[in-house]
Amino acid sequence: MNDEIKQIINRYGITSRDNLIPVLQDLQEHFGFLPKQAIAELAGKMDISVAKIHGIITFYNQFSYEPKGQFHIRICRGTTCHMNQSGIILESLKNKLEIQAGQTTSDNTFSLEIVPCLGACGQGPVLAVNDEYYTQVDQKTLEEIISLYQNMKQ
Amino acid sequence: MKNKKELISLINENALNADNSMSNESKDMLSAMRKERISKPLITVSKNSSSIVSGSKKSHKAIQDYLEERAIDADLQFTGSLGLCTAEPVVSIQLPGMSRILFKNITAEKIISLLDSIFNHIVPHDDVLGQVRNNIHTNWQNVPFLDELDFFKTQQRNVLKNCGLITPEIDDYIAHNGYATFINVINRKTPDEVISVIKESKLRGRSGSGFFTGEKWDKTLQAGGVQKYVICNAVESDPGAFMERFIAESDPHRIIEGIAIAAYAVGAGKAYLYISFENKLAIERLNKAIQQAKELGLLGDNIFNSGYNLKLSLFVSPGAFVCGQETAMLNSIEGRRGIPSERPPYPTEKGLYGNPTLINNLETLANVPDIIQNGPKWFQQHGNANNTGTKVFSVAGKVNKNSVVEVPMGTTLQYIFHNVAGGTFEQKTIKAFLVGGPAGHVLPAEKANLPVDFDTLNEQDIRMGSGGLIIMNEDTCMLDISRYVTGFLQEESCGKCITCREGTQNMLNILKSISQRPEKDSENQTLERFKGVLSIESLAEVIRDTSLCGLGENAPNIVLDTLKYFRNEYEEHIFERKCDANVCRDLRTFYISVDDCVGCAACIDKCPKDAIFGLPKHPHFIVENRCTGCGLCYDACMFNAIYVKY
Repeated sequence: MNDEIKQIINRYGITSRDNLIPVLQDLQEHFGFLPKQAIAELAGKMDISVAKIHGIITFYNQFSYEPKGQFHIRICRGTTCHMNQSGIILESLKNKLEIQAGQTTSDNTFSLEIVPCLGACGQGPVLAVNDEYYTQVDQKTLEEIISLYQNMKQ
Repeated sequence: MKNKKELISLINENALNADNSMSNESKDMLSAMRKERISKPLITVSKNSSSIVSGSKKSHKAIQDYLEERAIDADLQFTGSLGLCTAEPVVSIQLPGMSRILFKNITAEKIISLLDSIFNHIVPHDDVLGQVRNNIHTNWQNVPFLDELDFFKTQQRNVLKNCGLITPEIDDYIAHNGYATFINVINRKTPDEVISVIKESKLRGRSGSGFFTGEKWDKTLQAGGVQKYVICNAVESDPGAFMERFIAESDPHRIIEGIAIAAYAVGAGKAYLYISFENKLAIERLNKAIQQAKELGLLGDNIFNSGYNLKLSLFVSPGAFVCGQETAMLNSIEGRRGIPSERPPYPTEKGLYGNPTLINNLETLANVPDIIQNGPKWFQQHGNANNTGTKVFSVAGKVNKNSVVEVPMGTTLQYIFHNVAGGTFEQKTIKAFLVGGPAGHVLPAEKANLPVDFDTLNEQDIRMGSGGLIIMNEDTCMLDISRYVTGFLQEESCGKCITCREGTQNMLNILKSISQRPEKDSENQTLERFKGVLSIESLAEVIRDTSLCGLGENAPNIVLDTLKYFRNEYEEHIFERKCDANVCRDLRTFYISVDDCVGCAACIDKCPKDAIFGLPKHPHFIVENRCTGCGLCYDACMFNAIYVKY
């Protein structure tokens, strides 16, 4: 992993501050999360304190320290989905998976993320598991979706 | 992409506006690129974020399989979207010599029957959306033209004119006159001339501020300094607004051309397109579009031998609602936390890295190429005195056609909602409009006749917002909406101003206390609750008056609006602890009808609080004190034996 981190950071020749966010984005994209070693490495290389980088990471929605699960669930909490009761779907998801939004189950199978809008307002509540979309989700279909992926887990 | 040289010469000929003097060769090529003459069938599938959710990728795959299995030689392409989300996935078919015909809701399982019949020249009328009108092709019998459909007839599509009809590739954009204006501008017009056209057109910022674009450009041009920047603001983190991502996905080159013209006009050598990381498909298309433009020399050094250099790059925002605010955006491009700073100095004087920076909204810039091409008079024929042109709205919520629409400025909400978007469904009564996202405004149904333009709305002290329009009917609880919106803004508050950070949290707590049953009647909970309710209005005013940026200033808008127009709903929640729309879950409890319950125990298994008791095959009952009103039992009951008790 250390080699991969170095490789990604070295893609950006000039270590000026305006490269910080793009580097973090590349790391996030590559690993699915931000490894702690990478932050230390980056801080040394860019001469910015770890605390400052931590500040940036926790400020923006894109970055997280937690690895994603095998099945990453994104649930839309846009206004229209909210009007179609996506709040209840989110509650039951949290109950079923026993995690909060932004977390990953202990067996690394599921992770849960809230997104502002998936762009399909007519069909709410919408949720996506990896790249598969489910529309007009209700309690019953939610159950089916979860058990479908539970059976597929490795 | 076609041959580079040919494309470049086509742009040059288009730039000279030389329709008559165009060589026959170019005319042939243009007509082929516009798909006027085709030798084999052409099939397109819409592919944007909303149609992918509807399954357009699967339809695409099914068509591929169909063509392969039957060894049919046909072109299969994907386009953006027409904006009619309820018709997705849209599949269009053009047979040689026939006009292009579009079909709606073509999911993968419909593909075989659709293609079977259309290749035999039989039109499955139930699936038809419409056909494209032109005088070159033979028309289909008894198939409506697209421009005869209510949805398109009622709109004025300028920015959206290509959306859904062309592919997001550079060939198609050039075939429809793309980049000709830009090349014309950099070779034959001075920056001042360009700015005066924009000024005369009275184009105003489409992000909701309504600032005159020409003046902003002029200020940036006049500002000193060698290095200047242009930033296209494409951040759209409003939940429930999707018009900018829609344009970026369907017609990305139009945006690039707009940015390039703006950059030339203000003398900037570097431009950024700032877009949120969530819009993955838009990022992919824009990246590809920028790459294609570079390959043709439309971006880079010495563009088309004009001596003008422009570098355009995409900056992917790591996502924060506040980054739509321009100073916060600048901070995030510079690699800092996206926290707004004080204005003035405005970015036009001191922006990115302290240099003059022009920041325009995506839709504003998408308007630019056509204004320069057709002149300010053309632009002014729509809208009214100081509100010229058209505006794109994304219409969602309790409405028949969830869609992206474009109408002239000054069109009434009623017209957009009723005539264009097809009204509300299930004959329900419309209750309110949410204009401009969470920092926008709520308007009651009685105000539906309000023309939507900058000046009229300003008179009413309303910010237009960027164009998200959400329609609510009797099933929506206004208190729930204001609680949801406040919760969203509280999450997204950057934390710089104490009134915004703490104030929104306090406001949220008060709203929560209204929509909840008291957990314990002791401990002065009721008293605290009333104290909160009494102070919510003054709290909202303090937040509005003392916050630095637009997020804080507009955070209490919806609470204040709902208090103003829907006070009765608040009172109902406060005094009667009742939610008429049956949305506030914490206020409701359920009971089981002894007559209807068969004792199947399905609800007992579902109840997360173990609040349901009963023996198998005997009616169950719910212990009211334990019930949290989650409604899981209600959903689980197959005999409709569970009722809501207010």
